[in-house]
Amino acid sequence: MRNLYWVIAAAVLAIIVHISMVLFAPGFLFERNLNRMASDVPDNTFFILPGPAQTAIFPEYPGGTVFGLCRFNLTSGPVTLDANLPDGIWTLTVYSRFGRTLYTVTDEQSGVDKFSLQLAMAPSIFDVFSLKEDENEIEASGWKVLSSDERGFAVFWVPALDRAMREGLSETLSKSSCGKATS
Amino acid sequence: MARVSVKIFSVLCGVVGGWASALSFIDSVGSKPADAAGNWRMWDLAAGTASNPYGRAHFLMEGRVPPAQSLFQVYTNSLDDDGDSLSSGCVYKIAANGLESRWWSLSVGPLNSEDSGASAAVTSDEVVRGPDSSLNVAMARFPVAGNWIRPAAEGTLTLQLVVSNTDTESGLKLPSVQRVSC
Repeated sequence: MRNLYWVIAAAVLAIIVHISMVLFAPGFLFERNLNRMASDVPDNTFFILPGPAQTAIFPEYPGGTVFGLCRFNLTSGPVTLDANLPDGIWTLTVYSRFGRTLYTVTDEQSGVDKFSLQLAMAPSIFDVFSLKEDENEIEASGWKVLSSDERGFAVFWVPALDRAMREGLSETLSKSSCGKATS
Repeated sequence: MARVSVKIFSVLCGVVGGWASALSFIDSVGSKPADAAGNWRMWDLAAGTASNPYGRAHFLMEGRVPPAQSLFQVYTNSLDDDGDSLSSGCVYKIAANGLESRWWSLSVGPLNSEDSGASAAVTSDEVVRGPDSSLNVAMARFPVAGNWIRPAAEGTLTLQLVVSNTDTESGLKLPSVQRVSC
């Protein structure tokens, strides 16, 4: 009977370790990795991912590919992402800080290479019930992504035919910006 | 003394069992067979309520960003067509017909970021096709004429195919992987 107690305890501990390993550890490991590679870049700032960091985070893409990142922090209000993308294939993916996909868009879906995307906190259940009618209106212009996580990152992906094109694509993409929304 | 041993053994069993089962599930539950032979596996990276935490964990544990499934499908393969593990000491021929997606990338891992000479990936932008639109890529540690990917590390290898999602619904035929020599 006493041994049965310890068998059950071991099983419960195994379940806790299993869930932690799958749900929590990967996100924290990834966030730590991202912090280490972009430690000198403040939040809500757009930057082109340097080659070595790109190889580590996106090993399946060749060196000519350009990745632009914005690590957003919504604690002090919404953030606006102004995208300036080259002609051709590109994608934008918005992730939570633990790597969960929140939003995606491609050149085919958007039809434009310049656009603004507003990132804001999703309202809590309390906010949903306490909102006044005019506060609940959907904004008429631009695109809006609501995140339940106050931190996350947006990734622009632009492929290149070869490494020689990387500089030109980087120059175009670097005209994008990411910052606190003005209104 | 015996009771203390039982306690320590139980805690060890719990920690090791939970850890080992998580690693095993991340590989087996996070992906599913993608072809008849079952060598290629497709990673489940759906977003929202359909998301598979095991599939996402596979990428995040390595510090990599999981591609969004609405944009890309990710396939991996660590076996050749005969069912043997892919090895850096061998030369392989990767052949495909009908890989006509808007964009795709074929890469070989594991990655060695200190090996600057590695050409571990080839994409649809740079690949040279045959007259009948067929595709052949050699995977070897030394240069090979034509399309070539070079493993950056020694030991067992894993191929990864990332395909843009635009035309995968029309039936993607995954490449064959044949061992040429060792």
